[in-house]
Amino acid sequence: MTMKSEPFVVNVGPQHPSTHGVFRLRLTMDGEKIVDAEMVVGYLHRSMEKLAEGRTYTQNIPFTDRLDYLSAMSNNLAYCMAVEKLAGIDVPERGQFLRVIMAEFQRIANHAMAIASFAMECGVWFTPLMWMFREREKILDLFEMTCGARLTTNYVRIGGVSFDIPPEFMPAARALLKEMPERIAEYEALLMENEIILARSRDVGVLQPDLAIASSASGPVLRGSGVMWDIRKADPYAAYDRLEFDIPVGTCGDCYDRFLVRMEELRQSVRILEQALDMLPDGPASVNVPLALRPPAGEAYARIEAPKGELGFYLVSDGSPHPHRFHIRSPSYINLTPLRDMVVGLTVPDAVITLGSIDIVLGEVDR
Amino acid sequence: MYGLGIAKGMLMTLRHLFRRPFTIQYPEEVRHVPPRARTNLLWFDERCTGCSTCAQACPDGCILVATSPREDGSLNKDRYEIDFRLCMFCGLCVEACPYEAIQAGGPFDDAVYIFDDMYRDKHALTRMAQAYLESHDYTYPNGKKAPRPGQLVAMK
Ligand code: SF4
Ligand code: SF4
Repeated sequence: MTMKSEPFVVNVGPQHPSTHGVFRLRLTMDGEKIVDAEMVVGYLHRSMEKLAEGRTYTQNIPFTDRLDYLSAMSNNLAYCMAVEKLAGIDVPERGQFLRVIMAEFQRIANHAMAIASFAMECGVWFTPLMWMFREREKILDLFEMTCGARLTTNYVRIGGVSFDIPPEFMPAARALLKEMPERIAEYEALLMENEIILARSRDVGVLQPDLAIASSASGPVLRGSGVMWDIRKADPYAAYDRLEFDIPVGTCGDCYDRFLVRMEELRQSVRILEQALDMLPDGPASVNVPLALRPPAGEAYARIEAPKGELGFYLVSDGSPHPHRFHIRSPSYINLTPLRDMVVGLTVPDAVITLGSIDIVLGEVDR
Repeated sequence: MYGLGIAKGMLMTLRHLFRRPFTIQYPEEVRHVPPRARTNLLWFDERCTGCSTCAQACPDGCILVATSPREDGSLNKDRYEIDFRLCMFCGLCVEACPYEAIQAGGPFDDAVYIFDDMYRDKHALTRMAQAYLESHDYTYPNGKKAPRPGQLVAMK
């Protein structure tokens, strides 16, 4: 005799540590299996896009810090690139390299957080988190000595960067890069073969490459499915066309692959940083741009490979000092699109891990 | 073999046991704050001309400057207020000020019990700035020398 069961609805969130913020997942269960998943977002909505329309182009930079608050440098960079495209401003070479250096340090800091919280969700607990925060802390110190803030950096400016690096930056950055390979090896020894992670994440939350492309996923989520797509290579910006690095891709698109891709990206970021620090040219770091910049009427879209995926800003100018339209293409939000297909058929704990492996930040999902 | 990965990790953790801790015990130990850190905003009355550039640059509109002209053509600052309830310490006002009258720096541990105490007027800001100068040998956060109290009177 087969037992008949009623569908049962489980609410994960909005206040739940595993949702990485205020995000609600409404799971319809048939026994242990998920048959449907509904994402409810908007708890952190601050109407960024509308607020931006009342502020000048420069005044909007600190607001972009609050999108993906774990990688503020990347947000600043993408926004400033869009404004520069709109106004036709060229950034000096030193500024370009400083942007790359900060964006790559930010990538390491972001991935440290992503990997650590993913490991925590798999049940490995706090050791990896604490170890990775040790390195992240040093990166945040570098940011602080350069621009004055650790998280909401507000560093990149239209036409360059706000400050050149202080003299103590280089020795500290080099010392950190020197010890990074050893640290990454430690993380790998701790996590890569760890049976807990393997058991929890292998073949869980598989994202097929065609679905990943169809749902516009980007970043490690897309690359974990084996699609070789990285905007740093496909559409180089700043100084990436002069730097050598590889794009790691996964093989089967499960949670473990996404974790591996992030792990390898740490190494690649260290590689980029070593080259960029060596190649850092002298000269001015930025050009002077009027405080109330008035770009000519028109529109522009600029995108970068943020740690979480393709981050783009679409700006429309009507010739006034304020943007007429300000749209953010945030990677976290769009990477959530395939989540439903990924979790249907899994159990609740697996859904939590799948969500963790996408690495979302709610500041960016809700804007 | 099952459990080998965990055993390896455990060994790694064990080795860490004999390393020096990276954490510090605040408040007994205080970490070094770099000079550029935007810990707070310091406003220096003696430098400020009342031009309001900072107020225009602020994205939140949390600086209030009200002035009236003096006979010699300069401006008298009737009010200069920063609403720290709104301020996000972005530093745009610091960059905008042509006279370096508003600078990032100062105490980072100035939490209050009453929210409205974070609204600071001219006098509260001056108290904060003077306390900073006293404890920093009359040097501004940007490294320049500030006038000592006696010199300030002579200037006026
Ligand atoms: S730091 Fe930013 S928010 Fe605060 S007063 Fe200055 S410009 Fe305004
Ligand atoms: S910009 Fe500087 S000088 Fe002008 S009002 Fe503000 S603090 Fe004073």
